[in-house]
Amino acid sequence: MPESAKGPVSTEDKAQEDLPQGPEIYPSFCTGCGSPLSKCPGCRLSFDPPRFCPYCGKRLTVYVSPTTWRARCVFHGEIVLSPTDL
Amino acid sequence: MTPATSSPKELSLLLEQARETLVCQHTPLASEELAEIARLAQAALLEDPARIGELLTLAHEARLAWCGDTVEVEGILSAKTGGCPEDCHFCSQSSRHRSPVKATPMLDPDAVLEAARETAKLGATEFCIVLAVRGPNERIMTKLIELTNLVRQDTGLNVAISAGILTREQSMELARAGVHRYNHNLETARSFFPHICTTHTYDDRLLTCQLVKEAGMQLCCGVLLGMGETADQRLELLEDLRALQPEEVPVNFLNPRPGTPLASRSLMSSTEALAWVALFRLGLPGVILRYAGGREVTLGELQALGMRSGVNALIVGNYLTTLGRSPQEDLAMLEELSMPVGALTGVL
Repeated sequence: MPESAKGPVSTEDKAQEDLPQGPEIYPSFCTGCGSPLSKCPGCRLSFDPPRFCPYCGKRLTVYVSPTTWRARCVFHGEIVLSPTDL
Repeated sequence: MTPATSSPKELSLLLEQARETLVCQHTPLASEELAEIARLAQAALLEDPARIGELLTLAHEARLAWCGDTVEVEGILSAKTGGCPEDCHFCSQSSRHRSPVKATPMLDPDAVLEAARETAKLGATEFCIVLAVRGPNERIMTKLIELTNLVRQDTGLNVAISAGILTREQSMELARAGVHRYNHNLETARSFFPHICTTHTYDDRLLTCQLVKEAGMQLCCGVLLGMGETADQRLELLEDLRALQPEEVPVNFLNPRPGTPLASRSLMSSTEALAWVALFRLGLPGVILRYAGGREVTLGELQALGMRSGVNALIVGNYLTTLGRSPQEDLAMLEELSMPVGALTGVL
């Protein structure tokens, strides 16, 4: 099918194309404020769940319950942090 | 409050008289007595914080005399997060602040039930479902009633709800549905309230509190200290609570949240926080006084001391949008303090 017949590219698809591709992507955004780690060394406090995706800096959907929390990026799925992640 | 110096003997004498009233005679303190204790305690905090030890001890004695040694443990869940139309200056869930908290729709019943089951496994007796709304509309009311029945039947937990400003009809409906306790904090003194919120009034909150009591539900009405209010304003709030007579008073300490108008405030000092926990106990000797938000960041290693300074209940685990200490640490603390966990139903 020719490119022109495939219809407009959605915003999400375009954003997905702009993201680093390949099997390995590295955390490069602060999970406290979403700034690149080159500008913020990490400002998330110990009693805060991550609010921004470490891979793209977008705001996360965060669920907090009495014993656990889960954070999800619309592009990168469920975010699992290691103890050293900022 | 007039700044004053005080001698240790002045405060000791006053506390001894208060002990006679509260513990021996089982009588609430008069407002003037409470105000004088607060004045001297504030002076002691400035001169030598170690002098508040006697105040904390008396608060613990009052708690034991009026409520026993049982600690009520509660889990809370933000069932609808963010996007609140109100502008409470301390809150990261207001849509009016540039907060990193992303708004999410109401959780489905399975997710609420999962959280309730987690709470029950910890030995808690109360589970509070909290919604970031000005007040519940019809759709939310239907869901709240459904969730109340589901959680009660599945876990046996007492269900508390916090869903903003209520009408008389709504409070009656929730009471009929079996809601055990309804939370609606006054947060701060009437005279300071306009500095904290402009989208509704102190009287709006007070009316909901009164409607909850009239409907026959228990009232949970809390405070948030450290927003810039004066000691006199804290006393003003305490007197309003004494008049309102809630069953439970959660004590929150401001945890300055990014993007909110109070983001740059400093944390309250731990000794001041403990002193005011004790003063709230002396003013409300029979109430369920619950450790609530900001406990970990404000008190740090002194959390156990608070349990011996008037507190007889706590929120276990995580809060609405922030994380708490692990439940295991809290339960271990209570075991070390020899404080049994259970439901609190009223004054002994």
